Amino acid sequence: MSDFALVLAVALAGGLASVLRLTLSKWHGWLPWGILLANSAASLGLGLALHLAQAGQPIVVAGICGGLSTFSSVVAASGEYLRGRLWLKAALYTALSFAIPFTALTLGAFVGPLLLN
Amino acid sequence: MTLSARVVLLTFVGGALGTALRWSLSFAFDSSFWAIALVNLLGAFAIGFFNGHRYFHTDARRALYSIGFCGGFTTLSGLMAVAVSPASGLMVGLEFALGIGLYLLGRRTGDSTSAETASEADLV
Repeated sequence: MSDFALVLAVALAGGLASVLRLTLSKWHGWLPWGILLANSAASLGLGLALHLAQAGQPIVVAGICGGLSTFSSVVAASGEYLRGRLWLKAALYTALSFAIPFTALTLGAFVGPLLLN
Repeated sequence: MTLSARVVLLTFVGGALGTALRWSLSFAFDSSFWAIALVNLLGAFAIGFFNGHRYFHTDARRALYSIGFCGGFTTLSGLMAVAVSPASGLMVGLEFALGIGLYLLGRRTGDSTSAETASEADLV
């Protein structure tokens, strides 16, 4: 794949993943659960993808996982909670946005090699 | 925000551009830790600015700039992947704290810029 085609493929993957994130973000209760799900799914996917063949990796890793997950939306929600003096929500949402995706990535990295064998 | 075709299309465009820019920038860094820190902290300030400035408060502009571009530009999965040791885990924790701080700073900047624009417009 030429460099330009690869950039285009990564961009398209990121665009599609962003639309999926937008759809998931509609699940918004006491906390933005849909964004937490998007971040967790992307991290699980990244953990699994660490063992994929080299060629497709930028499309999956940078495109799909990078585009599906978001840091800006997490700090935006937490920042708004702080502005509204909702300390518990700010602390809990930030902590969960680290703990659950990190666990998902670790799980993916562990299960990935088992699936290939 | 309603999921109109326009909102979906603009999220796609913003997300594609943000993703392409993030991936391109990653080649300028030897360490993925610092590449991710840069995009995430820039993205945190940017979404703060967009959330603060009234120009960006329409559904279409939120879809393009905040959800699409900032969402696609920043990454949480990449951030989790660089938290490989207790020390880097601590750095990731600091990145969250700094990101929230930059978000609030961006939001204040957007607010004041917005107010200035409003008064200028009133003078004309």
